[in-house]
Amino acid sequence: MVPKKSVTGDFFEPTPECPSIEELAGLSASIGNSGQSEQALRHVAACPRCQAELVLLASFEQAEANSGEEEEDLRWMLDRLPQRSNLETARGSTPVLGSWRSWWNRLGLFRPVPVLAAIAALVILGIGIREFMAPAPQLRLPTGESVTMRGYQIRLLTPLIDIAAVPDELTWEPVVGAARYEVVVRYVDGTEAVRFNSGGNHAKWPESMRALATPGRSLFIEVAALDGSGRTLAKSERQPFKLNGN
Amino acid sequence: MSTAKLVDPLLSDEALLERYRTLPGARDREAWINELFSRHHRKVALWCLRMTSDRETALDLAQEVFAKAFEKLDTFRGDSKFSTWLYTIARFHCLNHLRSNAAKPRTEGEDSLQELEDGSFRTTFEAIEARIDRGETWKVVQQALSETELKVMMLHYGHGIPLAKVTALLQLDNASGAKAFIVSARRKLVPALARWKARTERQLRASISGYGDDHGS
Repeated sequence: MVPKKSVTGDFFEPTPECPSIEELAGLSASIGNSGQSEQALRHVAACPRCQAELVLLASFEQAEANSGEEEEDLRWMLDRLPQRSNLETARGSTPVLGSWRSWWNRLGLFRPVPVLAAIAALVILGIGIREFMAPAPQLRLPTGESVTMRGYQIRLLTPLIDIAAVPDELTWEPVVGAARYEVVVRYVDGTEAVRFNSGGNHAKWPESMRALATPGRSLFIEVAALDGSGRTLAKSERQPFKLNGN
Repeated sequence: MSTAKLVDPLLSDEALLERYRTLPGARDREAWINELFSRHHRKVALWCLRMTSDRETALDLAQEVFAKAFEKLDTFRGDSKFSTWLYTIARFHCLNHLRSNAAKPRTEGEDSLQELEDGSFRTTFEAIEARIDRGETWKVVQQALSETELKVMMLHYGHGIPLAKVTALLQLDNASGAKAFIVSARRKLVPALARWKARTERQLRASISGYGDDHGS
């Protein structure tokens, strides 16, 4: 019987390895020491939860209105927000926050954080963490050896972490039937930075990539193999790329 | 003389906050914190607007975010940028607001999402997920979906953000917004996961066969 739960709900729950939002923001801005960053970057590259957090963070940081209507609503809000969040204006009875709360109470809109919901969220979080701490399922052979089931992926061969300079070229394992390979360089939040093609299983870095790869800055590299009709045959994981630096 | 004129607009957020913390007079201090908050009005307001799609509610939420920020100001230790710290408050507050509204009747268009959570999609997904760890599943999903489909899935399923809000957050300008990306993601995921399942089973059989050959009687 199919359990009654969201199809992908658990899939996106946080794991113990997920960095905090502050740490994610630091990684996005290439802050942090290299040892911790490399481990964290590898996790972020493979974690849907962290990818979702980065999307949300990026949407907060890019505060440009998307349309005239949105800009109009935003202006309407910005005309009123200073009066409602300015401490000097709001000051009357002290403490200041007390006056805000009484303002809310007058409107009947002030609602405390629902404690039960918070407790329920903690329980769900705990269950999620416990589930994901379970080891990855493996086939146990009678000899005692384990075989981990893996999909078909391209493996990058060039070292990309804590290297002194951008390597002359990027190399990866060839894929049978590939007519060309597409290399995409991304920022930590997943946004595409550079994209280029190669006919074989190696490519020289474009100059734009060299300009991007400053010491200490984290990027991701992924390679896709495509057939003659442009269909993707295989892809690499997103591999962290970072030059030694501050 | 207005205290606001004493505030140096070129100071960083963190320096403004430090000045606020160290100045003795309440009225002088407030000018600094007001300057700090006003720098982030636009970001917080737009974020709340995209989360609610309603400017009245968004204004209430934005005010609450700044009230929370003021209340928790002592907890900011400078381990991150002030804007990141403010974001964590806005995120928590807005997502809570969405969750508290989740029990209300769905808006038009949301009902059809149930269709995405039945039949072969659920069965395939859970069958796969039961056999492998999340990292392996994620690789398959990443390979199958486009960047936008992934983002839509992550925000909708990962954070429970309604599709209309996801459309606003990602600034999608196609006719159906985020819903179209969820539908196309489903169409791609079902065969991709089925292919992946078949491939792993072939590998599994080959491993067992290989073991048999190596240890043949």
